[in-house]
Amino acid sequence: MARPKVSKTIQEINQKIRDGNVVVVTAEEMPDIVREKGPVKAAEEVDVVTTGTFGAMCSSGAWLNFGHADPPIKMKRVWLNDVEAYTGVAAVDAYIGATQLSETRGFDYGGGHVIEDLVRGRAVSLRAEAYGTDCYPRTHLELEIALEDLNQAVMLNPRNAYQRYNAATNSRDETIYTYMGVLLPEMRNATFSGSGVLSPLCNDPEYRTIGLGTRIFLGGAEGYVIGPGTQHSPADGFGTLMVKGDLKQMSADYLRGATFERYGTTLYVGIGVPIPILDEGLARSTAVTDEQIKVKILDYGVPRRDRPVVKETNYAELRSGRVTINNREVPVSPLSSFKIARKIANTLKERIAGGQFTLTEPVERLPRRARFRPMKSEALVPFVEDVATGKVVTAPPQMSIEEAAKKLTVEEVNSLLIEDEQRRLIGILTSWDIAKAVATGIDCVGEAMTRKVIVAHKGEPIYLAARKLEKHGISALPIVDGKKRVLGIVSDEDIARFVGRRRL
Amino acid sequence: MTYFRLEFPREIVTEPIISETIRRTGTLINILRARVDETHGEIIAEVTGEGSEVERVVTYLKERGVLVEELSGSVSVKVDGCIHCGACVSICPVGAISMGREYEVVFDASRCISCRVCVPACPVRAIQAPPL
Repeated sequence: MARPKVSKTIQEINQKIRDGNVVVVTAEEMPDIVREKGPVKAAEEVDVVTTGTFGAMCSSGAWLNFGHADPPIKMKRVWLNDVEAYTGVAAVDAYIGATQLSETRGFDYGGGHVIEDLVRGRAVSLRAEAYGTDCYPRTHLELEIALEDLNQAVMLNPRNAYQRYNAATNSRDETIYTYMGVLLPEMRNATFSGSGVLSPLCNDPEYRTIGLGTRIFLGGAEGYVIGPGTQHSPADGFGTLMVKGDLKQMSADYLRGATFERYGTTLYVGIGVPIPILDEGLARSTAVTDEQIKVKILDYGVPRRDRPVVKETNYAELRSGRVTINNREVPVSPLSSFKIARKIANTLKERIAGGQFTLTEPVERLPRRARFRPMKSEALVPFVEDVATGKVVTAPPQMSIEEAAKKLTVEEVNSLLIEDEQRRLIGILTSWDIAKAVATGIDCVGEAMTRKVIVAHKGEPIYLAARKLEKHGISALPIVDGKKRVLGIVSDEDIARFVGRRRL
Repeated sequence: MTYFRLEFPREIVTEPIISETIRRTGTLINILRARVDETHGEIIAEVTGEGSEVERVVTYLKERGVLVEELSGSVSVKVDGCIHCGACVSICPVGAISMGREYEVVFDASRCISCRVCVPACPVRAIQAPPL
């Protein structure tokens, strides 16, 4: 690398902060500055660029220490407002995680909401059970506590602030409810998260200034990066942060419990990372724009680990509110709040300019080469076509009801699959449909059949087929290929046979 | 224009009731949103016409066993509750919710048909629906 023309240290920048003459801009303002003045001049003039993000970050939670009761208790299980916290550590320490659901209120309330309630100063009911020991005789405890009653409340989030994140759409013919929000059928909407131009890690993608010990804005207070987050995968551009901070100093303006309908609870976390402009290289990287941050839109209608890519786009297109998928304009919902991300970047800017926030040098930078690996493979989960044993009996729509009834009896099946001339599945005729046809005087299969056939697709894992059977209260699914041609029938018995062998 | 939420119980879910209603009353029914499976159907529809025409549609639908609920008023947004994430904007069937210039969620109450689709989609439950 060529020797940089500008060279500053964090100590020099901190001196400027103390002297009150530091120049701070947000990552949203930086691209124009660099375009206008060039990176060298920009690096000479600007000392710090502030970033911000406010989005749903499920890998979040807090370590709480309740202090000792009298007589004391060694908690075996503990609940806060009926949300269980993990206490498999010392007697009165527990970790409340954002996604743990209330045992009484389900999706409406979870760990994220407990954290928000604590930060708002609200009393929370604490309930604990124990087996009792010689030194900790107590077996049960129930009382109301508030944040101020706790010895420590340390927010410790294993994975926050994804560098960028895949966007989502849904090709299925039904609405699905996901951690990417409500996805309408037939790709009628798309959702995305992250703050693009303001994204902390996108503004320093080489992690030159971010690592263990970087002081950041966390939930309204000061916090620290304590290392790479879990699933940190910089080789793919999906870096993450592990962060901690003092919950007692935080504000509900930047921490909000949330629910993703029919998916679960989470916590919206506000994070801002200040990036010192030590040289023109950092001026260049903080000049990144929404257009330059690439995002893939994935089909969440396919419930597999590797979801198909529907389109490659960028934050500028996503943020415009419309994205073109298969030549059709589709409305887009952000899931992260850009408005609050901007407020965080601006608040951090004011705190630094006002001398209330100084920068730190990371003790160890984030790893730059790791790649996140999938789970070690277990024995392969089979696909529907691997377990299907059902007998396929087809018929044309022109067939008479009488003939169809004979065919059902002779072939000893419960239903006929109705195919058109191109052998595409167009309906299903069950014995019930035949009974109805006879009762109402219909004599043609095409008129009596059920047109909306719930199908399984080739390559579909049996878990999904089992969910469909249960959801629709049916006992078998025709398996079709991309051209709607029937490949087999998978029944609840086929799946049960597999499940009987091995627990799913 | 009048908006309705129509519910089709299991017994009638397979019948072509909307088509028959249009044929019978000669009134246009515009389906904005439909969710139909083997056990249940729900449709948000717009009925265009004079008061008496709308009434005829409602009467006929009720005769056929459809549960009819007129949608009026609009949902409201708790001012201090909204985090302006925008999760609601892409699912509104009538485009009553959009992102403003400052990336704030803008809600146009005059377009809202109170279909309530946005209510559960709000992660922080900031959208309130009027009582039925």
